[in-house]
Amino acid sequence: MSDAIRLQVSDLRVRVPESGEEILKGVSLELRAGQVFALVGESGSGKSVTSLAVMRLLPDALAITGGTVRVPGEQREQDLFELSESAMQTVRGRRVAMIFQNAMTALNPVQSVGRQVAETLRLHTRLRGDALRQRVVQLFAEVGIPDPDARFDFFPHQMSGGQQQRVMIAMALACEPDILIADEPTTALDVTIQKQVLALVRQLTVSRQLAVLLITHDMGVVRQTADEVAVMYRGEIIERAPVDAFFHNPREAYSKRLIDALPDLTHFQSVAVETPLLQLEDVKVYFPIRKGVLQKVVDYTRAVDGVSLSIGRGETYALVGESGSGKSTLGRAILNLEPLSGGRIRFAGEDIGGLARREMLPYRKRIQVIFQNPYSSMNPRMSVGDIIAEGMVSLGLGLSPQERDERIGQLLDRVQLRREYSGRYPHEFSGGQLQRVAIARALAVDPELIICDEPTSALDVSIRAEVLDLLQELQREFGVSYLFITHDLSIVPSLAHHVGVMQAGVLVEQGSAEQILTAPTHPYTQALLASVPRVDG
Amino acid sequence: MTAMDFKPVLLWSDVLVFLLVIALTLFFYRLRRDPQTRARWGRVFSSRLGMVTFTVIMVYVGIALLDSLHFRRALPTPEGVDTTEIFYDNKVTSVLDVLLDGMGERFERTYSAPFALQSFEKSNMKDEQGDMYRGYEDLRHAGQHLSHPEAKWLNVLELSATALAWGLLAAALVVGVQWILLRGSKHPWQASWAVQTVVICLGVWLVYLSHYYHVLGTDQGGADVAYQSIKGIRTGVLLGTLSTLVMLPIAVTLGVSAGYFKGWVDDVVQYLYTTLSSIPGILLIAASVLLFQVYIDLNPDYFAIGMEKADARFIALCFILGLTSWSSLCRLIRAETLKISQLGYVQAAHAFGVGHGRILGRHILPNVVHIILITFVLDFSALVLAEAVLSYIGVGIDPSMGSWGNMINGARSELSREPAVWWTLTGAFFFMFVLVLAANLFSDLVRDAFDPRSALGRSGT
Repeated sequence: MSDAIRLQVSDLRVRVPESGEEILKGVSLELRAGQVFALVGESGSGKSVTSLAVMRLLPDALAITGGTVRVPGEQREQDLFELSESAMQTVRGRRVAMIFQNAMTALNPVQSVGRQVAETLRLHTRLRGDALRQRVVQLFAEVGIPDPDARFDFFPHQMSGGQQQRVMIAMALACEPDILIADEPTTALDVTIQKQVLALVRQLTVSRQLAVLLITHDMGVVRQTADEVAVMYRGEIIERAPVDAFFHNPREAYSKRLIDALPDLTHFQSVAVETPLLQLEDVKVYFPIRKGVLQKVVDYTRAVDGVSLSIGRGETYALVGESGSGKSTLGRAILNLEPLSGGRIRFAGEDIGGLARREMLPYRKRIQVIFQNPYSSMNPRMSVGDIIAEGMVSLGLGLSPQERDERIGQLLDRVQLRREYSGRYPHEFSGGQLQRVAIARALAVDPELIICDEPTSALDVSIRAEVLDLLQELQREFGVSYLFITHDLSIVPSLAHHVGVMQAGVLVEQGSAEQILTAPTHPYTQALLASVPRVDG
Repeated sequence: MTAMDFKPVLLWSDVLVFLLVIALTLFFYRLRRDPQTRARWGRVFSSRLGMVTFTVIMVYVGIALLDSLHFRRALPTPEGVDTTEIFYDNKVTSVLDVLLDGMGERFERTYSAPFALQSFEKSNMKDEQGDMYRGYEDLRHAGQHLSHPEAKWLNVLELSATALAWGLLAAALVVGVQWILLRGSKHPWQASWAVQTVVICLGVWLVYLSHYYHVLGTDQGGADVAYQSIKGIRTGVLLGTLSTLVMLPIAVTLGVSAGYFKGWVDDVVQYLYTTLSSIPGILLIAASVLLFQVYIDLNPDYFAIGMEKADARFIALCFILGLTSWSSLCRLIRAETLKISQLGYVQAAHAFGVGHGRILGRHILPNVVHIILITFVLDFSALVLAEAVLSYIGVGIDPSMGSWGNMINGARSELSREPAVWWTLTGAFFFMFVLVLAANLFSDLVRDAFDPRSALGRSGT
């Protein structure tokens, strides 16, 4: 802790001038050279506002009302809030650099990545021509981009998400800053790539003696990368501690809850003997690739390429894989929303694969679905009551309007929402509440199987746990089975009986949760598991 | 004269207008039930600008509606003819003409400037001795009450003061009634009342002064320009709304089905609109109008009076404009539907086995309504301007039917004279400008309120 302080924020306050609401209530922190300072909190806690306020990049709707941000200058200390706007601009480029969550939108899609980095260098240094290119290639090599010389001429869309983020980091490092602000740098990335990018940040922190402010909602990221942690809650830092002390001895109840959201790899769901409810045999879903004027089918995208699995009654099967592995497509194929290209889907012993719309109707009642994004899975123009009633009406459960209202009330009770909410509209709810409505909607028709397509990945950590608990309670109560589609291995142990790991349309490994999580055999599963953050580091 | 001294005339465009008013009223009544939509409209009307522009648009619509109640006056039975049959005037009058109090019946011989007492052009006249000479003829309907021509401007002032007094009185009545009814409202009605006061005062002043002068002068045929500009309102407003309403069902049906069903339906619709938008619009419209004109000319017995002929051509123009301009809206709706049909709630509806019709009606249509609304108000002003362009090149409204396009078309040669005849253009331009400006400002507000990307429409991430 004796390292030099590179940036000191004291008593930073931000308000909404219009309503007088205080967004930041006196935030203080300091960044030291060679150390990563993690600012943790859920969405809306004020962590991004803090970083933007430090850089004086707040949107017009917010105003800084107090505090200082000091950086050691060449002769004496400077307060960033006292600098002129043009002096601030040099600070932004030279002293402090930022990287953001979504690299794809931060890069210009019509310019090659090398030129974009060169552009930054040209603005701040005297390098020109070949020397400039050399420097960019050198930076690319430093951030671990393979074959950096060839990648110079690549366009952003030709690179993977992880590589794009590396380009962003190279751009941020181009002007040799002392301070790096990373705002959720890995949230948009798959877990295996997330691990690599974090390792890179860690390594650069040490090799370049950077002072890093890492903003994240993910405790696993903190555990892997940070030296010091500050937990933010409603505009205040409620706890601050070195990272080891924090994870072993959190003081605040809220911090405890955040840490508890990390997976516990010692307790698993016991696997009971069960009768199979859903069986997939060699299921294939291909999407044709059409070319030419006549739209001739030239090839197929093999989204799901021969998957076989079996889900028992009252059981949870977790289907794990990274984005693009075909796990959501498989879910849609079971719902008959995607035509099968091959294989059989048996539900309760009957073949339901490739049924026509009308023939599928009797099964619609028995298989339901919950989607990832609670905001887009509710029609904004229908009241919550109507949304829940939709399935009951269209599947002809034969209820009178009074019975239906009563049932909607019961369902809302069951998912721990108030009965009065049935008259409200989706935009009046929070994400967690909406996901409860989605659960109620699925339950409304008494299904035997619910396909949960990443139901918690759009939710904050503490709400995620509540929703998962609710799902498990409902399983015990109604004996419903879940096909749980997720990219997040960390929620699997407490939830699933069986796990299947998908990669590029193929199920590479499946078995009981305990077996997969403690003794994986396939290298891909091992890689996935290695990138899951843990409390014990 | 018998008890029945007029006969109502129902032109096809009148029928359409009143159907439209009923349909729109029902539509907005239904929309009111949705609290989100109500909140959005509330936002439009909570700004002064929204109130002002809406009032202006309503004044135009009101005038258009009054001008759509047509009838034919009974002609007095000629003396010496012993018959009980009543003959009706071949000229169709509207309620608006009655309210304007004969403003359209005061013809001069030719051009005269605003407030002029004499004709703008010299003509052959006879002096007291009966000798021919060239001179400026006195106007028939201007300044007849004056004893000295020099007292004209003083007289205008006096008349204006009287008119203003009457106008303020009428405005006080109208606004007073509203004030009693809407006192508790949180919307800025004061802005609307201010506009109403101005409009009523202007209207009373115009009608009152028209008894003594031609306020905006007369055109080549000697017709009152102010009257013609007011008659142009019905044409403009109707053309804007009717064409949009012809276009909407086509664009919505094709766009939604292309986006929802995809596959070959989408292919067909896309081929249709790419073909349509690759033909120059004006040419297509001109060709269609000319074709229809031939049809009218070949079948004269379908139309009892000249007005009906003009009306048929007008409706045809509305349909042609509507039929040729749906492609851009269709494209927008198709894209939006493509997006919505991938969203969770449509997928969930599929998983519930909800039928296609119900999905389209309950999930997709309500969520593209904002696009339809925004396009409706935006296209409205574009179509009013399109009419002016079409009339200018001679394929627009029948010349016997007052329209701003025809007035502007007539004014192009007048502007090249010296001294220029500027008032025809000014009259048409002023009335059109106010309508188009109000419609554009209003559509901006509607777009801000209904665009999902704006503050109220919370977007999911």
